[in-house]
Amino acid sequence: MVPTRERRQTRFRFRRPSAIPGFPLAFGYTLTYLGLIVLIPLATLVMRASTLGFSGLWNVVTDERVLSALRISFGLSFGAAFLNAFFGLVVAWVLVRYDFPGRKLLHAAVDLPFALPTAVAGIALAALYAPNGWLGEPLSHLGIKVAYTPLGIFIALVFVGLPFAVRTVEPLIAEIDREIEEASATLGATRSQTLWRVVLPPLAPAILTGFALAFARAVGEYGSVIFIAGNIPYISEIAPILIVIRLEEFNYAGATGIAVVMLAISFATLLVINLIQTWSRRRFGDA
Amino acid sequence: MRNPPHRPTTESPGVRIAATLVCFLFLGVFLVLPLVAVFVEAFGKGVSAYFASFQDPDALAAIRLTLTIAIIAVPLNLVFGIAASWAIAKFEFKGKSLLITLIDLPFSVSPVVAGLVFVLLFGAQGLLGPWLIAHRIEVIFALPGIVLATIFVTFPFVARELIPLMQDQGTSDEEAALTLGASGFMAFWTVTLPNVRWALLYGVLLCNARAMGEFGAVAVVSGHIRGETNTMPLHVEILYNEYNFVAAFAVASLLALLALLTLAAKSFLEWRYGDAIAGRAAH
Amino acid sequence: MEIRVEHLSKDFAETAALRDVSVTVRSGELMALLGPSGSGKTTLLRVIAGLEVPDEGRVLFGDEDATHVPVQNRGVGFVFQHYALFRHMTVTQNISYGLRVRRRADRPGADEIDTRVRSLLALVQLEGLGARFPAQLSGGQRQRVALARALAVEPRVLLLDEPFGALDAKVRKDLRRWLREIHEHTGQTTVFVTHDQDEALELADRVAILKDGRIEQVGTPEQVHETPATPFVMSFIGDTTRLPVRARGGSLWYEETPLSLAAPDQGDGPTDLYLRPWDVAFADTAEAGTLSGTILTIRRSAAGRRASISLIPSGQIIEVELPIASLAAVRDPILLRILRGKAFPASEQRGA
Repeated sequence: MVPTRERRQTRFRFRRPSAIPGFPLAFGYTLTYLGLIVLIPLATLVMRASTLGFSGLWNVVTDERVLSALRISFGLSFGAAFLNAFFGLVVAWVLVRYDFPGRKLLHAAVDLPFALPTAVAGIALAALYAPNGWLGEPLSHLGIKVAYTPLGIFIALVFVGLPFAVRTVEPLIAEIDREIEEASATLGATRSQTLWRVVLPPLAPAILTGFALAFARAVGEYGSVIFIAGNIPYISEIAPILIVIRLEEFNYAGATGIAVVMLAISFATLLVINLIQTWSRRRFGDA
Repeated sequence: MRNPPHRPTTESPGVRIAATLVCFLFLGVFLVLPLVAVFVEAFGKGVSAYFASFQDPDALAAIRLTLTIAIIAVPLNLVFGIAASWAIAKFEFKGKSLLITLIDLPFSVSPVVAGLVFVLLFGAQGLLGPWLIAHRIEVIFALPGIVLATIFVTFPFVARELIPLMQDQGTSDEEAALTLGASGFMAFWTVTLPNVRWALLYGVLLCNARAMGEFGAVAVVSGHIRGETNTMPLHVEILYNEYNFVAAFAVASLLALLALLTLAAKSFLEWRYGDAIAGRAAH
Repeated sequence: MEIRVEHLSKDFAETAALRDVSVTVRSGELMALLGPSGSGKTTLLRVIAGLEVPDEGRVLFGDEDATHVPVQNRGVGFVFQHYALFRHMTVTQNISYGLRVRRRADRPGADEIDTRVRSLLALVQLEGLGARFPAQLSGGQRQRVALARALAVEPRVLLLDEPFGALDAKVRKDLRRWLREIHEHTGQTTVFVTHDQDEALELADRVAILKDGRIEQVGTPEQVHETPATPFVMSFIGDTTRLPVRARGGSLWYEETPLSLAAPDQGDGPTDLYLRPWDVAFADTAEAGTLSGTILTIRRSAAGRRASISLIPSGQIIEVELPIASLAAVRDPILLRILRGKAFPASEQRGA
């Protein structure tokens, strides 16, 4: 009896036996659907890119216009994600900790960028920040031009990334045990010391995760940007638009090259998020 | 020091007020104002101009197409979400976390890239292009392509709402049902599904909102053929680029309304069935 | 450091209220705040700490009025029920936290902090675990880290909220003894909250018993056990049976049986007699003052055997400790003599 069990434990087994039926069907269907919809199409992209060869890919990516589009995309996305991480933390803190009229409404509004189609957001932002728009006009008197400049792109990217930054930290703030803060106070810490040394550090992984999610979303964003950006090459042209332009020129190689770079960034961001979460689980016992 | 101090676990009143104002201002400028702008622009030339925008047959065709896409894409992702969460939450197997990561993958892929991969696969220059042309099957610049791109971008919505919740609930309920003589399907139908129904609805709502509103991926595969492959968001773009702002914002206002309804339903579900929806880490 | 609480009142929605509470904790004393949940004992502790502000009344640390001193400056060490350890800090960082957040002028040097952490780790018997994170410790170890952290700031008073509530029975017993030893070693004025009467009686120099936001009695374990001031204290400390009796002519009567017990001073009238299980003995022969009854059930506990006895003819049930040698069995008729008891004027609502 005992030896069989031992042998069983050491032998590789894909799945732990279970009394619950339906695994082969559910698992098979999941893999098939995932493969057909996601994996095979993405593999096609990578395959197509590999036919360009390394030098072909290099030529596409080091093209002046492509480089500037990638720079604009990543630079502005980074900035927008940073702004979102900061304000997202403030917003989440206010929404969880303070009580004021309109709190529930604001709480619900945070998800708006998830639900509002990007094209709708795009034309709304363009209308708001156009030189004769509600915000564009007063800003233009201050000498600040938003529409058709990188600043416009930045605003659109803040819009789409906002809920990620708020929603990743919000549940953690809600979970903070008040006793922790009281303990810090009884030990003589001022309120700002408590916030900085006791409250903030455990939130750091969530803030980073929110930052990475907002960044990933911003890098790939298309719909909400194109209307406000003006899409001027070298100035306000982001990488996704350049992919579309290359496609319209039937320049598949060009489109594929940019897309592969962006896909690589997506994978890298996912990896970073997973690493942050593994690290925080190991450190703090749970996510 | 005579003043009664505020509770030691909150900030001073000044800081609280300042932070609340920052919150209102930030959310007001970035979220509320654009939403208000949509409706103000749509009704800018009066109510009759607003409704006249929907007389356009192309607008009606766009609405029909958008509904058609949602009706195909959402159920497919629903079935997938159920299958995936059943396999992942109720069984232990190797490579599970990799599978979860792969399911989340479409969230971090740019919609434009999502559209591009289908062009590369099914387009005239694509891998299967010559074969499709030979058999006169239209995928790109036609309904199938748009549906595929939509399914891709809305792929994880249902699954990721269900997986954490079903993992939290464990397998004891199903095992209890099985010991009482239920078949696997019965156990799923009578025990699992009621346990997750609100989360399921929640996932379907989000999936539907995104399916109807998707722009980037669809823009790449649709070809913008008026009255045929134009979805509502694409129609908004065309009208806007033609400087037909009232009509553009009128169609946009329908999509904004859909977003508001989705948010309202979502808030209601969270308020009413919060515990029944929340897995460990929802977002 | 003597702590005086004077006429403290607090009323609010989330926590139990306090009503005109006055109590003095003597310097160097280990005092227990004992009461059922909702009695206000934790609220009282939090008011002393400065985590809650009272509506009325004063908190005095020695001669200093500390009522409105913010918790940061009050010099209390507070051990939370669930420890409230900072999970992103190591044990060492947790313990030294209170020293590190001080203003530079008051902050001890790194060496001194290090020395103090070391000696505290030794005191709480956690040498060598300084680099661990709280998630890597057992419940009892976390409890001890929480105590070391509270002691590190050299508080004027140590406050513990249900210090052993979250631990299993065995660990709880060990920690109880160990806390007593630490207290004897440091001589720190200490107040702890508990709902466990054994814990309070075993550990504390004096016990304050609370009910519904009021202090019922303050006294040594001996006093509250032997001379309870109110029926509540009597029934909360140890098992009790209440026997409805009547005071008549200076002595107590159960129905028509005279009990050889003196009546309280309040004069004739309905009286409640509270009995411990060992206040009742078995009698061999019926004589003046014996009651008769029938054994309903016999239960075995770790300490001995208990019988529930139904008195004849009233059907009133009393709990009696069985003598070790007793051969009594269920349904046996039995004769009882009440040796002692505590009489209070009958409470308003008679019943269970």
